[in-house]
Order: sequence, then structure tokens, then C-alpha cells
Amino acid sequence: MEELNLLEKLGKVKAPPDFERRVMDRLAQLKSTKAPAALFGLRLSLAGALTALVIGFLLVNIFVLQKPGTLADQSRESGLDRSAGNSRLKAEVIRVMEPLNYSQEVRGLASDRGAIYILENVSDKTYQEIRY
Amino acid sequence: MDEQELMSRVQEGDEAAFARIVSLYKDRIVNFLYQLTGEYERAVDLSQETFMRVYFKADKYKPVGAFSSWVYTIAANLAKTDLKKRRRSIVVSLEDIQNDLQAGSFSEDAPDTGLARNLRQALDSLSPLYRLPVILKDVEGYSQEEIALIIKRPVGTVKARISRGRHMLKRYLEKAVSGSDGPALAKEFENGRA
Repeated sequence: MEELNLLEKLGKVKAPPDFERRVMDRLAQLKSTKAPAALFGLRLSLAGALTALVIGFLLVNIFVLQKPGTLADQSRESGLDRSAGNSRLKAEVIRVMEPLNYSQEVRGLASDRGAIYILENVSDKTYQEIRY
Repeated sequence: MDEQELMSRVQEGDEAAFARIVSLYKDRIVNFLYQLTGEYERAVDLSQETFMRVYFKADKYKPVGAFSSWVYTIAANLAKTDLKKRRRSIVVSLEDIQNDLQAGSFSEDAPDTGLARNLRQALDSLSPLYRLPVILKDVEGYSQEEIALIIKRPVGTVKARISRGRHMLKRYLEKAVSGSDGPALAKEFENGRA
């Protein structure tokens, strides 16, 4: 191509005589500034990694290990035996036994002649359906 | 000691090997960047930056292709970024020129009819998209495959850009010789419409 020959006529330039020295000076300068920067970066990344670990640990503790309503908590609250063999089975049945004393209430209503007392069968052994 | 070996030493932090690479490539890189930017001092600054990247990014170098292609890739990328910055700043400087014209303080130099001057102007008017492959091919003497490696484009694209760039240069030179409006043509080239 004609342009190929023409472009060869463009004047070629060379690097200035002190080019190498300038490059090496700049290299030395950059090396001295980059070293502390690299150290700072390392410290920053270490701090970041530690923070991420702590946050991860907290999240696992809050949302996974301490989750309310898990089997472990139920069995702990109900005071059931958590032995390895039957703890899982027992933890699924929660028995709440609340002793009630009606004697005071009945005594208070004794003056009222129209009062009708319904006596319920209360058992602390087995659950029984109440029949009227 | 070949370039690959020098580069593996640079990767280990050997400054003497790096100085040898600088010595081997300084003239080629300065000339390449001068042809791309059209300014000697800028070319020297960009060359320095190129060698700094060669040193600090040495670990990124993989000896799969020619070492020179890798160095030219760095230089070309730096030049492209610089040209983009300059195109933005030219908008500002044109406003300044307009102010100077209104104030009557601007005097245009007599047009240089020399061939080298016309070639320089023609190259400068070419969009970097075409200027880079044309210079790599016609000034630096790289093959189309090597240029594709340097500018990270398919060979077909490189061929098309070289052909189109040469055509634009030819048209610019023809019009410059016949005395048509150079700046308008340069603007046309810049937009890639010529």
C-alpha cells in the first residue's frame, strides 16, 4: 500500500538519554510508597476478615442456635429427662399440671342458696374427658 | 538471556533484569506512543508509566505470547485512556481559543505543506480506533494476528480497521494536497464517517 510507505516517512523518535534513570528513580519512589500501602491493605483485609467472622458467629448464635421453640428448649423448659434414648419422644408431649384450690371459692359462695356446684373429676395421673 | 527469562526474573523482583527490559524497549515504546499521541513529552511520560506497569504487574504476565505484545498492550491501553482524557479537555481548550479569537490574540500558524507534517495531521485526525491498528501495522510492522492479540479484537476486526484507517488517511492526504477544508475533514474522520 502507498500509505505503508508514506507512514514509514514519519519521523522516528528515541527515548531521552536519561530515560532509564528516570524510570528507575520512579520505580524506587513508587516502591517506597507502595510498601506501606500494601501493609495497610493487608491490615485492612485482616480486620475485615475478623469482623466478618464475629458477625457470622453472632448471626449463627442468634438465629440458629438460640431459636425459640426448638426441641432442646422445649425439653429444657418442661423439665423432662433429656437422656439420649427417649428425650426426643418425650419432648414432643408437653404436660402442664396446674394444681387448683377451689375450697376458698366454694366457701365464699356458700351463703348463696341458689348456687349449684358442679364437681369435676380431677386426676393427676391420666387425662380424662369430663362428662356431664 | 532472552526476554522471557528476563521477565521471570522481574517477577522475582530483580531490578537489574527490569533495567535491561527498559533498555531494550525504551526507544520502541517511546516512538510507538509518540506516533499515537503526536506529542513527545506525553509519549515519554506514558512510556514511563508503561514500564512501571510492566514491573508492578509482572505477576500478571504469562509467557503464552510474545513479550513485546504484552508491553505494547499496556502501552496501547495507556495511550487510549490518555487520548480519551485529551478529547475531553480539547472541548475546554477550543472554548479558550474562541475567546482568544474574539479578543484578537490568537494567530494561526502558516499551514505546513510538508509531507511529514501532513502525515502527522492525518494520523492525529484519525480516530484512535483506527489509528492504533494502522500504526501497529504500518509503523511498527506487526502482523494482523499480533495486532489482534495486542488490541484484543478478532483478526477480522483488525483487518477491517486497518483497511478503513488507511482509506481515511488516503482521503485526508488527497484532500490536503488539493487544498480542501482540512479541519472539517478531520472532524469527519474523528466521527468515523469518512
